[in-house]
Amino acid sequence: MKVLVANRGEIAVRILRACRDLGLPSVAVYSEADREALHTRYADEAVYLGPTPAAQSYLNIPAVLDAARRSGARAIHPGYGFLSENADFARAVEDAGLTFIGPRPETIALTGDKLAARRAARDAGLPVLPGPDTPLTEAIAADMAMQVQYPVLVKATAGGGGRGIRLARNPDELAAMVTAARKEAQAAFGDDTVYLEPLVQRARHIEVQILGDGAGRILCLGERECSIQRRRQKLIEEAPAHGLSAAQRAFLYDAAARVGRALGYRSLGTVEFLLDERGAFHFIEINPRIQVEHPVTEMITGLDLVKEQLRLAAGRPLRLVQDAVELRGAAIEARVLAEDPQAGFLPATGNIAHLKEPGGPGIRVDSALYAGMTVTADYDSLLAKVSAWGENRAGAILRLRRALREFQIGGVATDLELLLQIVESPPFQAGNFDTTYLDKFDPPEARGKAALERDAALAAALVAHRKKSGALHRQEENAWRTIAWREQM
Amino acid sequence: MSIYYVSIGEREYNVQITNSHVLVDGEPIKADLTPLNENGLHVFRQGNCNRDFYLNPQAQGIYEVLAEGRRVLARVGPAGRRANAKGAAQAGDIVAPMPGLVVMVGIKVGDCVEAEQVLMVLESMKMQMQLKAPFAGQVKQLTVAAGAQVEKGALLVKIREATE
Repeated sequence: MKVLVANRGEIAVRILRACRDLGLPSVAVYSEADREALHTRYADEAVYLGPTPAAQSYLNIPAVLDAARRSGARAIHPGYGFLSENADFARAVEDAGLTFIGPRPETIALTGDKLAARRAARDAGLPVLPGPDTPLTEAIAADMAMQVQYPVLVKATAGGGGRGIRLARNPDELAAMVTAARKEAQAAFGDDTVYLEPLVQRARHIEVQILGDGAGRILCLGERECSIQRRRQKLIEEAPAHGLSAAQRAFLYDAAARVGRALGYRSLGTVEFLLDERGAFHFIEINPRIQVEHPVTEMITGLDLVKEQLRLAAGRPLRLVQDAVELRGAAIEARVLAEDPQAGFLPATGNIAHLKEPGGPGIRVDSALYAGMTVTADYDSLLAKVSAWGENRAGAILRLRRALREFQIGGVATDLELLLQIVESPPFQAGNFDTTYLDKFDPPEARGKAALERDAALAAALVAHRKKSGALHRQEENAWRTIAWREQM
Repeated sequence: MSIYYVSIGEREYNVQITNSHVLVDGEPIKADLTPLNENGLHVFRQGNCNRDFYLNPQAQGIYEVLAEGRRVLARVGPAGRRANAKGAAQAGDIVAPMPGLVVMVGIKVGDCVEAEQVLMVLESMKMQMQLKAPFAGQVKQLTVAAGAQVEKGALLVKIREATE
């Protein structure tokens, strides 16, 4: 089975690695901006899709299908983002006689409509948040605004990735927020339908990884906690969730498996819940694809989720039974983004002049980085994921902290320092946080910050001094043999 | 003896380098900095402590310094430069705060705008950002149209207080 990976960046490389582990021939696709990207060099073959804008390349269904036809690929893995949650794409792949590595098109269509997914979950007996089942396609009427329970979230029915969501705290705000959410939803998803959902205060985001064979068998591969978020974007994820009771966990797994069975779920999926202050779970949505944060599940289960997906797609049965799924230790993932915390988290671009990825026991890095690579503003800002495994949560934290300190990315601003501050913060270490943690995060001054800055000032002055005195030039002639600065003067 | 003024954030350091020693803010520091390759990786040696220091020279005397999981931007230059740098952009000059694509332009030259009025929308890495007028005034210059790709720091719009 020759597999075409319809994605780019770290997830393309991740999937290509699984192909290689299974001995499956692979095909990468790329846009103009990605001509030399790592994923194109990692695959057995690489096929050009189109110009840099995603709409003309990674979102271009005819171009992707044509690439599959030309390369002779028999199956397509969509990764996450791009076409992964596009039911029309999944259908087009199957209509072309190819295998779509993911859920059935009907499942993707259902989960893509957040209200339909909520109905399906309620029918399967899952706890869902109260709220009208009817979408809002028009501006909200004043009398209706009075009946709503505040604070309330206005969410896009076609939403995802934290986009198209607005918070209204009172009837006066609601009309404006509905308008804003509909506008953003139209721009992001081409559909301005929104719905209302009560805001769960001090909630934790907890999700369950499921794997289905499409014939009614569902495996539950443990839960992940993704409460560390910035503007509804997950930043740090871990497995298992800290401090759940055995009863809570049993409830969660049963709920996820039930909705999975009800949908006859095929391939990988994630059932997302909010955990409220009283310890009750509320279903929010199903993500019908591999998740960014899947490595933490792989670390505690010892499974390769992409390999399982590929095996199922090749028509092989599920290899595991639920009782054989054993969860060991704890794993935490941190997302390294090309965003500058010192400049209001604006996207950062530039050339990666220097790169040293962390390593050692218990550390995994998923990236498509290389020294010399240019980071552009064309696609999303995820540069790398650093995941750490430990025998328990404290051990995983220590290793993640070590790895983040080892990671050196020169030339492009990243959020590495913020990740380190979060991991070092006492509430995070104590497991005392919810999805609003970063809204009011005020990191304590880093230990040794003053000394480090002084040393950095000194080092910069020394380099500037040598440049001025031509010492660097002479040194290059000496073939970069190390000479202490004092001896040069 | 050479003197360098190095600013990091709000703090300015005075670094004196002579043949035999270095003073930072008048305090002698014993340290060596040795390049390990031509890409900017150095070893910073202080007493018995050797550390990776990555130094990347950028424009205008700024050095990116990576050490111990932290990233510091150090500007090497004459004294007092930091103070001036901030006021350089004239009020009403709207520059691109990030590189990206201009997805919408809501104004044209000569338009009168309200304070906080959205002038244009930039998109970068799937994030959209509205650029707003800092005060009420008139659009004196517009350098881009929708669809344009802009670099960080590029001048996009000039707004001046209306002179009626």
